[in-house]
Amino acid sequence: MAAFLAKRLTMLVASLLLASFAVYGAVYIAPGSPIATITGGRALPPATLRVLEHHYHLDEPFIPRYLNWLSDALHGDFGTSLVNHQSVANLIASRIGTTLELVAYTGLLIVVFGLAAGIVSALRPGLIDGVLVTITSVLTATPSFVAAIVLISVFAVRLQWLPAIGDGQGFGGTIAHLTMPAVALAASSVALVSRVARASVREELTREHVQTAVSRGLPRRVVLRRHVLRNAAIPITTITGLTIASLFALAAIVEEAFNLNGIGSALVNAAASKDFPVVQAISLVLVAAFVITNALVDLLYALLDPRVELGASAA
Amino acid sequence: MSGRLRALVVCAAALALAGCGRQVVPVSSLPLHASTAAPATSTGTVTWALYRDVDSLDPAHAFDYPENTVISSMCEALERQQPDGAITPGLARLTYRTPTRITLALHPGVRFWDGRPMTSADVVYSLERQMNPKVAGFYGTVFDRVKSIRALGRLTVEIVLHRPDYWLAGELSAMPGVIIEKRYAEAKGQAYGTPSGGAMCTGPFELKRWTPGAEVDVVANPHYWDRALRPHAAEIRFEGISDTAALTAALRTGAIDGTYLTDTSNLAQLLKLSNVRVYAGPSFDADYLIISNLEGPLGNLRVRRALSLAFDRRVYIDTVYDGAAQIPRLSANPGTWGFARGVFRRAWDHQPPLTQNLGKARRLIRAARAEGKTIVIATCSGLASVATEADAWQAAAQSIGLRARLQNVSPEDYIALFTDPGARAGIDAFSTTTYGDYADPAALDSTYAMPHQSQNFDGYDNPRLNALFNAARAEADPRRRAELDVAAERLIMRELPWIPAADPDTLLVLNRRLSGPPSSFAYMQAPWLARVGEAGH
Repeated sequence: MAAFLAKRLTMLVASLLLASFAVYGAVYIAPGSPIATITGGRALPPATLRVLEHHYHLDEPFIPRYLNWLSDALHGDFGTSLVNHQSVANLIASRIGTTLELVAYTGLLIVVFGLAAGIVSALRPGLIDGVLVTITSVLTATPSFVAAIVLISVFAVRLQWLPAIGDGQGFGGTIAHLTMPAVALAASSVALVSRVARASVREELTREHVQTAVSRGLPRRVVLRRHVLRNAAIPITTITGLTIASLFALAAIVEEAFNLNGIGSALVNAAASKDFPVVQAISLVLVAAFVITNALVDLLYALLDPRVELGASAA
Repeated sequence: MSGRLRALVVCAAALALAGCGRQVVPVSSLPLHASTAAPATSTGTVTWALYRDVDSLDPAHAFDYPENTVISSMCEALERQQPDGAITPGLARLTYRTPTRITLALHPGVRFWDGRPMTSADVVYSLERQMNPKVAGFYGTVFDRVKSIRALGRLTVEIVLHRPDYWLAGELSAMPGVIIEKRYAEAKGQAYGTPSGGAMCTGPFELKRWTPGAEVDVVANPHYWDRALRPHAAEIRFEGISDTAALTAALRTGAIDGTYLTDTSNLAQLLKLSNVRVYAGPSFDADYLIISNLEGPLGNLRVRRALSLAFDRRVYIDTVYDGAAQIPRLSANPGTWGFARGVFRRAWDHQPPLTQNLGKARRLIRAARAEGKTIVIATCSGLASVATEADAWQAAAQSIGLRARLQNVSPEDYIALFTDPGARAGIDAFSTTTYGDYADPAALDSTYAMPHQSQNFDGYDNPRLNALFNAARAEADPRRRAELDVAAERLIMRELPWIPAADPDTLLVLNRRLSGPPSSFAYMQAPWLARVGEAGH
């Protein structure tokens, strides 16, 4: 276990370092300048522009700027936003809660509805399976921003059941405000997970040992639990884990659509205005979330299948 | 470039979603109404949408719709822009004692939100701060004729000029003339106007809370000095919403009460909503094709004239603005007639609108021997209205025998065209929406049509035009200044340093339960949101 954690920690640090350099480089090379955002595009005399560039250290070459940022970051100082001068740590702290809530809510929907639909589909061929496959086919092809528009027009505008925009206060308010974003974000992933679950369960059902167990008269419930679901769990866990890990990045789209103040929408805005410190810090948070979620999935493998050793790659 | 373009940068992704169903309203005709009906009663909390979150509350660093809207609700300039563009006394009464000597008599009894009285020290500090190169404010150049600013007494300030400058009075009614508390701003230093430093002003609303990335919350200032503008709303919450579909839904459900619309792509949907009203009013905004290279074919005046004649402005206005704009006759939007209106009105009436005339345009191209010559127009497929306009200019050029190549750049690169000469290399022309700081056609025209000015990207230099602008700037009499402005506008229409494309309206979208704020561009520079209140029924 200790070896596993050490290995994962090293991987996390290496990923963060590599990602920080790659993201910094990408933002540096990309066209445009934060000055355009800071000045609102107002044409300014060259002297004023030079003062602004110097003030924001935009006149320094790439490597010293990166190293500067890195050493500050290692000391826990992620700098301040070039655009609104807010400390990046505060900016992330004030926004990450919304994104975590959204991802948790969405993850729950994916696990519950994805697994339920997949297993029912696999075990009930015929009409139920046909209906579920049709629904999941439509959902797979529904991008979250389209789902967002449909949900807003039905539940916020026509029925007026749920608020169209914003974060909400308190538990009830948060649930009310996050339901549509979570559904929009979960839609295609629910379909994906249910498809994988259906295929895995179907495959296990045709296995020899399952057929044997059935022919020996074991109760169906026991066969399903011990021989089918347990073996099908590994591919399902893999796809569910990957899907949930990717939610951190995909959340940006629904955050924009529902005007949620999460880190995803902050990243989109910061990237558009080349706000280096904000882009850097949020990217690293996203990378860390991805690596950590994957580590958790690996832990789950070991729990599900005693043959899997921690740190070794799963089937 | 103005924030309307930036609005489009942010909203580019949303455009595809907002739907393209277009309800054509008639092309605007004068007169547009500057004000909505006065509110009957006070109201509680009003939510107001901005096209993006506010980045700064520092008037020296405010040049876009969100910052101007919020700062103007809280902070006041020395003079006040009225809804119709007229300039009246604000925190001070401004008098030119001689053409180079301005006296500011400060309104007595004005207090900042913390209760401290506003004095000449605050005024001198605020103006010098705008001029200070270390602050790198956006408005340093408007003070270029100022020699000294000093306090003559507790409530009197004198500005001495190198040369007569009657444009300065206009600038002092806008962001450059906003007064902040010296003591507070000095204590905050560079943090002034940032989320940690806040702001300290005199206006009808005071800053309660600024949650960056979420909202700016302002509450009524109970001790506000001006009885005429006592706020009707107890609180206004400003929220940045960059997604036009989300904005439409929020207005429909009442989550947002009002907004000044900067991205018109959802106008058709808004007009169909039963619970909001859309008001069109005069604006300082104008759309142009910027000429950025005089070495190429567009350096030839006949080619510029031909291109202008070939452009179908009616179709352009219907496509981009759903009709909420006027076909230009002079170089500036009629919303900029802030004084001597009769002079501007007569000139406008005598000038034909810029309608399409392909026959004449083709003759000009033949006379210039420009057939088959190539012009490069920058476009941006990520910005729907820019792309539409570039396509329209390309079609216009091709219809008269020019070749036109579109150079597609990213939204960020498109903004860089305005700030970085390197980005403009090889580009002959690109389109923009932009505006001046106060109601005077010269406030904008001089920035692109005079040499060495901020938006003169091609080195255009016309001695006759320069002489007219310099004469207008030094002219004390508003009527004669308007005549000089009109002469300059007519010359611009003949010489076309930039080619006018449309004069958009100011669009106010307001929940029907509310009324009061002006439907004109004055919201950008003066605290007119104090007027928003419950509508009488």
